[in-house]
Amino acid sequence: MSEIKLLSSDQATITVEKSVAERSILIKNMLEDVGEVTEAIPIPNVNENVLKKVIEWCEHHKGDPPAQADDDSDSRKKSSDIDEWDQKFMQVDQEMLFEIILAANYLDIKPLLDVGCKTVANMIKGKSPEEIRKTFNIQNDFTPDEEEQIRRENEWAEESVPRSQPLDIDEAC
Amino acid sequence: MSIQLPLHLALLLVPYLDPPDIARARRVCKSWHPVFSSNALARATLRVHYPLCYEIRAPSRPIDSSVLNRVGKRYAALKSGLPQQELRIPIRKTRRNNCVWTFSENLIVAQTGHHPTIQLTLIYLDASGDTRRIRNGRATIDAAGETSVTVKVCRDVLAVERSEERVTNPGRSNWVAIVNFFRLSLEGEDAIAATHISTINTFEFTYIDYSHQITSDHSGKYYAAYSRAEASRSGGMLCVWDIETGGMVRRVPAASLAGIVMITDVVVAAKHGSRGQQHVVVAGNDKRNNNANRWGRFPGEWGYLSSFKAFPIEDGSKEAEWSGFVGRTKAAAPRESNILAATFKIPRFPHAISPADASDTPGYESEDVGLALWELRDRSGQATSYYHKLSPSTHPKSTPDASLTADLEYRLPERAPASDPPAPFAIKGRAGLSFTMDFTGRNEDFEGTRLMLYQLRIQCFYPSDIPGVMERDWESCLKTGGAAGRTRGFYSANRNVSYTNMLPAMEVVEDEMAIAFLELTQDGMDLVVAIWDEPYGGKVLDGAVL
Repeated sequence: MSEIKLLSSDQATITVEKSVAERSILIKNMLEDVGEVTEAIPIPNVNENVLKKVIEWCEHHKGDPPAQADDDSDSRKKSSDIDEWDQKFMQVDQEMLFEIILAANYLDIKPLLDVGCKTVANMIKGKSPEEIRKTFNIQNDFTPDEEEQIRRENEWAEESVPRSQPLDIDEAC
Repeated sequence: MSIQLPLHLALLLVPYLDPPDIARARRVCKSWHPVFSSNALARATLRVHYPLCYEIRAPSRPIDSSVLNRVGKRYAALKSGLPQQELRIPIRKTRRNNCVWTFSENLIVAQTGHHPTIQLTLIYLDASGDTRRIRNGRATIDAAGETSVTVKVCRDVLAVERSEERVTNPGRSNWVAIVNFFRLSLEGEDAIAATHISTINTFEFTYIDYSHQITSDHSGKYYAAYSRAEASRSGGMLCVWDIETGGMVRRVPAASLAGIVMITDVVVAAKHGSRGQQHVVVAGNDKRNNNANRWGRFPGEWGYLSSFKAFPIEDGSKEAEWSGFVGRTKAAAPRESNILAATFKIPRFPHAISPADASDTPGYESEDVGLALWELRDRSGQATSYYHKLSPSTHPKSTPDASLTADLEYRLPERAPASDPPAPFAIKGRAGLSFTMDFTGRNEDFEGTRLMLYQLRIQCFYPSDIPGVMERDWESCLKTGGAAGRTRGFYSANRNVSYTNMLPAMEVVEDEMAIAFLELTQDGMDLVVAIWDEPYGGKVLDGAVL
């Protein structure tokens, strides 16, 4: 079973099974272009911790069928169906979560990107701004005036907005 | 420490978030606000979530965050069934017991006076400037109490079709179909003017007024008409007139139309070609194809055919006539009587009073003609629509099956929700097809009378995973305003609506911007225009803005 080496942005070398690394389309294409490599492949945008985490995901999913090539990124997607292992895997601090998404995007690992985006989307979806702040531990730094103005601009997103004036038709005729 | 969300990460989230989620995310903090309000994110959101909205299909200005807000507001209004604005124009029936009105190119034309002159009220929804405003105008025809039949607007031309009785000698009278053309222009800040261009006498009938049997259409330059009823003058022919001069420019003899059994639609469209050639397209239903003669001509198990022919209008044109058909097979559509067909010009956007359609005129655009087949399902009243764009390649000889394969298919869910009562018949708008909105009426018996109570159903379609297939995304009903938000019922404008009549008993003009329909009130009848998009400022003379 052949192995390859990856070099993280913080110069850590990680040895990984080739078939696992090839979950990344970026690495797969690179290996196809270059052929046999003995040196470590530099992954300049991803640090050691994140890279290890990404490899952990790839190892668990190495037997999965390859992602569909014609996956249309320009259409809406459901955020509800995340499998149990992935849900646990994504229970990391938010900084790490964002790093994993960016690494998955850079390394072109569509299923991992998908899981990451779904996880973050679920933290935002259907929530009020206050609930989102709590989830992400964010301070509300708007002044009351600014907040009111932005609320008015985005009023359409609220559930029950009285838009139309009452109409003068006789319902009882 | 608050977490930074870079724009490129936020862009990755767009397919997983709904537009209201994005709007709420803007309100989180100062670092999230510019990210979720950015123009790049607005563009991505519109492309992913509203791929068929006007702003994406026909961009008239660069897409920025304000466009997303506008579209978001509009779709929120549609989804809730509560329009952002409503205009009401009182309207009275003519002696023919119908109301004469139209709503196209953002212009509402309603016949509000009948005697001693015909008075048309014009209300133009001007969306061209920075602020949206209502413009008012009038057109008058001195017709000594004669009634008009229909009014039509295309580009900057208003056509008023009328019929006049002319007594030739005692006991004998002739009916002449007449069309008055007006050029529309914007005046000052809040007016629209109609200037008379020409009057054309089209067909003449003996004894009986058959003007309602005329099928017609016009562009900014030409008017075409075909009379299904025998007419002593120009009858049995498709005739085309120049609107400016009033002279006839083309006559298509009946023999050239022989392939089309029953002409139901005439459409005049400007097509790109050599020098912006204009075509007249005629189309007809053919429900008599279950005989050996036709099967011999069109091999295959045709269940329903709509044939069409297109003729170039201008003399000396080198472009050839083209014809074809679209249809459904017997296997796919066992009951041809369940099919409705509509031929129409694919509407341009923005809807606006625009200059004549000569290819050298600013604002000139090529127009396409679409043909939609609505196939109603037994019992449920649900329908699937097959939408075809007509072109010279829609030809049975060159592509044997192409004419059967619709460009777009609008599907409804297989199983209607249990709370959804079956509708005896469905009203399907033609413009709704191209704009993914589809308004459906339901009716029910109203306390033993034949007066029908309608609800207006709004359906939004979204491209499914199967190419060319649109699936219903969500559905809502037009509602009454206020906190209660009850479904709004309104009564049919005419009594004695037949249960079995498949044709829509209510006329509804609609797209995702606005909808127009007649509503019975205690004092009479109102033409109601419900606006889903941003409200307009200004007043409607003799009407009301709500």
